[in-house]
Amino acid sequence: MIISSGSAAIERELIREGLAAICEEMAVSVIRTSHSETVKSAMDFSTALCNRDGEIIAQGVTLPNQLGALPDAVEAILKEFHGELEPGDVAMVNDPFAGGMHLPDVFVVRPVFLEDQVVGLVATVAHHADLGGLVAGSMSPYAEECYQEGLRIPPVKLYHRGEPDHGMFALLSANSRVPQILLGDFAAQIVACETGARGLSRMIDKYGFESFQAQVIALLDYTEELTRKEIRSFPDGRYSFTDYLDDDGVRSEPVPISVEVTIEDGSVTMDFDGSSPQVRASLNSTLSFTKSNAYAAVRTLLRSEIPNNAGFFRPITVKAPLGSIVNCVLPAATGTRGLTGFRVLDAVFGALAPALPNRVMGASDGGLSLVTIGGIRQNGERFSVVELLSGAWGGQSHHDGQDGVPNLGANVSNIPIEMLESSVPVRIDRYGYVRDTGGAGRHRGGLSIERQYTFLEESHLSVRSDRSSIRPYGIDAGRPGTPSTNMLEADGITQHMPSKFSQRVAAGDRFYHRTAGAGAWGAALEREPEAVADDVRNGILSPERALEEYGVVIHHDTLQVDETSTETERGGRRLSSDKVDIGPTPIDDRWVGAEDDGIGQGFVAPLSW
Amino acid sequence: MSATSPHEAGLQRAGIDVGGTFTDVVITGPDGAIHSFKLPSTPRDFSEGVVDGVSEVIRAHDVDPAGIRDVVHGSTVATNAILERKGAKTGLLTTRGFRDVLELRRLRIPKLYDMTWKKPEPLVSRARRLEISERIDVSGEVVKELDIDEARRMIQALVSDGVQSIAVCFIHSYANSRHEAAIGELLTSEFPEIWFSLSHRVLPVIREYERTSTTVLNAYVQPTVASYLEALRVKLDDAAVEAPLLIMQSNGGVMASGAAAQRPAYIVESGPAAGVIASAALARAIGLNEVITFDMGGTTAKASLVENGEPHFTAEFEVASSISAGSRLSSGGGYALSVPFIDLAEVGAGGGSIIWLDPAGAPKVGPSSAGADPGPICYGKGGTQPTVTDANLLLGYLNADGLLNGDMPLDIENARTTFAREIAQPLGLEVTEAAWGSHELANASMIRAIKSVSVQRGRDPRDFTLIAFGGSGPVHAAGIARELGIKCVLVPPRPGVFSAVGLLQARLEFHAKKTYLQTTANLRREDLQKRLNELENEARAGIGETSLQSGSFAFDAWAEMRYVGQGFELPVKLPEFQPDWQAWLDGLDEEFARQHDLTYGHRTSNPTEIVHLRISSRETNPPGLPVDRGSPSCRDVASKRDVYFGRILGTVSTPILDRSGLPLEPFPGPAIIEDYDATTVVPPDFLVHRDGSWNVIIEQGTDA
Repeated sequence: MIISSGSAAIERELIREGLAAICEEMAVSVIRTSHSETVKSAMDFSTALCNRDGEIIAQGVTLPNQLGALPDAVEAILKEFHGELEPGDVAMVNDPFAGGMHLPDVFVVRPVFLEDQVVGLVATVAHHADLGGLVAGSMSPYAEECYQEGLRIPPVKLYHRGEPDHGMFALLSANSRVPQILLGDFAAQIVACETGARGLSRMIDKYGFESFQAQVIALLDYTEELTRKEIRSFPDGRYSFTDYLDDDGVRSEPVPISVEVTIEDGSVTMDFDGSSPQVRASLNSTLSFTKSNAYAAVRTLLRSEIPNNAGFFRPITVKAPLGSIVNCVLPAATGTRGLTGFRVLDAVFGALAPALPNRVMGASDGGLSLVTIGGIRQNGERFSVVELLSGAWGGQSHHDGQDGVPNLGANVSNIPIEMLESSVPVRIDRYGYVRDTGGAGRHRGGLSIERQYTFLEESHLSVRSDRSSIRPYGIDAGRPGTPSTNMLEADGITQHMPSKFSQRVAAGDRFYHRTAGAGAWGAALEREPEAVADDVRNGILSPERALEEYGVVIHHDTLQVDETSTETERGGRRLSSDKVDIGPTPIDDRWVGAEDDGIGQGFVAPLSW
Repeated sequence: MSATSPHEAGLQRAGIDVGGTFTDVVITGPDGAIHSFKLPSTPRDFSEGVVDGVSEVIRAHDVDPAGIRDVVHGSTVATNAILERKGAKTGLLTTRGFRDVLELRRLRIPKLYDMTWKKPEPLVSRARRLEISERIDVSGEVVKELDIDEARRMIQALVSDGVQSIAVCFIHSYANSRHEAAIGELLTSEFPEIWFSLSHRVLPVIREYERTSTTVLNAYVQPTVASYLEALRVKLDDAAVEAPLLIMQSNGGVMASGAAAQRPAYIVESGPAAGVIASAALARAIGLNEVITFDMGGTTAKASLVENGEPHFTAEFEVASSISAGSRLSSGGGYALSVPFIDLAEVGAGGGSIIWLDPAGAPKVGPSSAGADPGPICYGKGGTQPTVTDANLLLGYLNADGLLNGDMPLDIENARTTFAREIAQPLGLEVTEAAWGSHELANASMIRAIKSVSVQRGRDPRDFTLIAFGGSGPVHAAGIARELGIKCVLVPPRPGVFSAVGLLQARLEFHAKKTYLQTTANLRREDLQKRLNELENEARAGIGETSLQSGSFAFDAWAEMRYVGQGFELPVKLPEFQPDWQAWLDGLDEEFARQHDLTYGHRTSNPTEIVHLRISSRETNPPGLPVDRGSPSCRDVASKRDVYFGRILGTVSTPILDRSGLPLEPFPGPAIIEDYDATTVVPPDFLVHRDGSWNVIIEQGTDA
């Protein structure tokens, strides 16, 4: 008995490795055969294998915030076609109110048969280039209802017994601005599903269905145990936090995302009661997407290598009030809910900061800033590009916040400046860190990054950013981060712009975007003076701010620490501050304008040379 | 030991493969026979081990050093400088506004859900990255003139700071190199003691991060590599070996040591390349069109594809990246180095990989490794954690009396005790069962590497032959082949020094590449011809730096193309020019579409564009395959021992042979074949024989 359980552990591990390899094969197949740059380069897709009940047994996650996106879609398809799935069928869904997330994300699911029995399902979800709606890309920030956003697809079959449904393909094609890319990406998803189905069948053949099924149950149990084991090391309790979006892009009021996290005997419950009602803009998140981000937050706080499967979800419960921005209902628009997802991550991390001060970091930049530039060249050619600007991580218990990294929720790449300039009529005048940004602290927050554009032809500029009025929080007396900034220079006049806007720009106009700097960890007076001096020597901190924020006196000529003056300066300040902050910075201290933190500086580097 | 030689007189070659642990020296004798020697590397000064090894082979086999035509060298000296951060104190000059490009990289990070991940420190700190006023636009037009006085002041500041080597990378310098060249002239005339690397010379291609990073790596390792090569030259001369020194590049070609000192970025990953080149030469020699190479050493295993005698290449590589389970989905872990590489998948599973249990009791193999020091428990050098090699010993695969002809004794009792305590007992298994499970888990991760170069490229591994080498490759190869449905495994003679043998077959190679952004529809023949001529001249000059101009060279023209709007390119060999230009353009488009279909499974009618042009030149008549009569029979092997082959096949009393004892006709396993430097395992369900060139051939039994 004992002997067989040991062998079983090895066999289970071989099955886990095999399933993960199949998901990876599916992912490579998607990348290899897809047409759109979003899928190929930004890897905005995921692949999964499920057991016959629709439970995820392995997921190939390529975009972090899609962890947990699949169960609802698979469940919706199983429910719709209960007992009606046949060999060779392929089903799809994108309806945010029937298992989907937002319209561009289309799920494609294929059953796997052993003789005449469904023994599993394979699934892929990919972000499609365009499914109609107000704007190219189907993600207008100004959509007020989902009906404006494009084609809504309930669970339907795309293939019947191996035969494509030509009507369905015609319908898809007729509703896209770029039908060729759309169909190409569907083909990639279908090929990946075939790859996955073949791999799964082979594996079931090898182990025999009964034994495979038993091992999969053991695998999910093991994953659950691994997850619970680590959660048990967290202190039990209830922890709440509210973070905010600056505004919904239409009305300029902060949008709260509230969460109460309960840790109890190896389980985590996240209740988003108290969050904003859904908004008449496209920032609304479905419960499935909220769950994805909440799962991703927990997963990020765990240190073990945990397999991506349903066993991981078991100890975790996510609740959100119906009709809220984190569990929206018809007719909510959902196109740009990515930003809401980033804030869900921030809210969960913020709540758990007092419980796990050594794991939670200061809040990051707050999520990708989207800068879209499009138009028609003088020679009649159309151009357009979406830039994903990012980012910084907050300070952590053991080291400074990372500079120049993507948000934890979306592992994307930047566009090379030389490539950008070769494809759209802009010139980039600066791309780099901004001095004196990021929260000050024992371990400082990551720096703001700026990108300065000069438009060479008339263009349309559209920007979706956040964290311009409510800054990223710091942890345990670490200072909050620094705000994001948008500035536009037209006809020689420079003006601040809101975090979300859209407008026409002329040749010669300039645009400046600065991402938010991240929050710090620990009190600034506890930062090693040498680390402060290093930042000064590296040109990311001014001697003035070194003194003001850190109480460190730096010689202007030698850029060395003046130890005696620093002792005196810091000693005096320690006496006057006896407040001990635990957890994230309170909201009152995070408003821009609540204190002078340099926002008035505007362009840190001059726009011109 | 007598055989006739296919080699012409005077075509003797020395191959020297320096790894972190061992230095392997292989010299072909005048009769074409191979002499090899393995000795510990000398990390303090790698050239010492090299010369000791060469001298030893010369002495032991009575080689006339004057008869050696050339010395081909693969070295980790550049890689080590990067891994250990022991390169030069380096500065970087950039266009104003872009000093942070090096550190911002492409943003993407290699791991999801890992907050503890830390970005690798940039090789040039921000304080040593200085901006110069100048700007060139995408079409090569100067938008802002270079401020040469400012540049002089910046260089002076770097020099005062103790910088020894300076990288220069300006925006769009691939389109107009004037400003960078002016900095080069300034450095040459006013700062002659400073090393420098100009991006348009190192890598004149679009994408500023990749170009900057590659140029910085070049600058960072250049002083180290140059002085190493210089020292090695002197020592070889002292040993009366005056033959020219050739250096293996990461793409498997070789270049003169002078060229390598100028462009050390091209030799950074030369180590793994040699094994693939050896496999390719072997495949050509015995007519194998479809080969998967499998190289398993102490810390990692590597797989790659050789089709029709040619390896696959990539220009996407990161140095010093931690092992990523052979996945092509992760990037951002190391420093981008965009020069041609042999495309390999690497996983953290080698003989030294540690076997451990996770918090919920699941057994795991690697990626951490006991390396060579302390090494596996059985080496008796202080290793305390069970490794794959320990498991292989407990299964009976390795000779408990010791490796390397008994020079390296093994401590099986200690391995057994620790394995029992750490792995077997917690799992509730017999030691042998637990060792078997560990062996299988190691296989699973190597299978993933093999799949990533085959299945994930649309290739069916069942159509391929597995060439297995490296110290541990032949132990695992048959089990992996069984799992993947590979019918035939080939273990070449001297599997432990096979990479060094590959150096003997390397050809001179030089690639000249430059960005040329042009839509195919607007392509003009005169302009294209002019640019190709420039590249060909550059390639000829590159080859001219060697002293071996007697060889004949082929020059192939390539375009790296994409559909307009795509973010990456595919190489297309340019068709022969023809009088009808439009027909030629259509032919080019067709060839691109065909490649696209082959690679991505679809083609479109979208407009295409060229991104880069490349001239590849390569020696056309490479050295022939040396005749190897296999490792000499080196000791008395025990006739039989008990070996475990899994629950179904069980423990079998297995004959132990050496290579010379193998018949030419297949006979059924099980068998263990002990070479001096490696052990080959033939399970009971396989057949084994040797061919006329002393390769061991293992085939899946028909009834298996």
